[in-house]
Amino acid sequence: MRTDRLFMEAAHLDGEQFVRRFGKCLRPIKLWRVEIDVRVERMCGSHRMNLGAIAHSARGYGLSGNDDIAALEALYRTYLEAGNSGDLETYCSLFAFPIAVGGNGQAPATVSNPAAWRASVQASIDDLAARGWVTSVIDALHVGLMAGDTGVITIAFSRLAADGAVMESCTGNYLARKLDGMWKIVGIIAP
Amino acid sequence: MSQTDEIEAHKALYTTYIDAWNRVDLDTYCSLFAFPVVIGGGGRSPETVPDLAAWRARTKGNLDALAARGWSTSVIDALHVGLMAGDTGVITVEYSRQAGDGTRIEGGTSNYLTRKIDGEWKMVGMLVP
Repeated sequence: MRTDRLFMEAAHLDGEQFVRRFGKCLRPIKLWRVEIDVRVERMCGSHRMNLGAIAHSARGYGLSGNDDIAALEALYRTYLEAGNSGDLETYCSLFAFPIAVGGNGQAPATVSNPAAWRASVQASIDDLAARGWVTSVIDALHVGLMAGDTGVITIAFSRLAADGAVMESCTGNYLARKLDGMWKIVGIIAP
Repeated sequence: MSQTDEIEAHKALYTTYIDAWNRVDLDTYCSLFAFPVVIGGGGRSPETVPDLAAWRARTKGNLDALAARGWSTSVIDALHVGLMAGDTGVITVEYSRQAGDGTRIEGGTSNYLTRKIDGEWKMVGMLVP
């Protein structure tokens, strides 16, 4: 199976659908993280986007606190890979709207729907590309779980040029909310 | 509630928060949070405070440390609210800390993460640059 097709398929499944589709090769599901490592390597090679997407799809299936942390880590890795590959459909699917984008003491900007967010992200990617950016990498990733099925993903990341040189390094906080068993990003607060 | 009402509820939450802080009213202050609470930001690993007792002890320690440095009261310089999906919100503030004579000791910005639980907005996290 082509890796991009597997990715797209897995990214759009909920927990039950995921188990039906991939259950035979991912048993026992409670060991999903280890199993996915093994099985995805076998099915797709070491394509990290697939690992992140499939783990993200598994998150709704009765996961514990530790599983929630793993799911939030996977959510961010999927987010970054989708941004790097310009896959805005996957990228925008990781959010629940409205979202707030803020920090630095400024009033949070509200983005009310995926279309507006997609246009904003496309403009940001175009701007970065014009400055020589080709990819972003994670320098550090931390997760905190809060009351009421909320979480925060704190990351340090670097933007790289085509020759691998670091253009800039930044930090950010992604606010997440578990909705219908699925973790979604609802806000971005810098730094 | 309308969006305007939710924003006003956030402003009231933060006003209550800062008033309780200034009065060292730890019962009221801690009642504004739902646990676990996360303290993070600035690229640091978020720190989890699991329950009210731990939060109260931490807050008391912070207030004592501030008082030892001459702090008397905190004031809001700017307050912004953002509403997000799933009954979540963010309060972004600029604040100043003042000594007893009203002089400014220091200031900063903070972001307070909120969640509506059983119809009531609670703070669940703080992100400080």
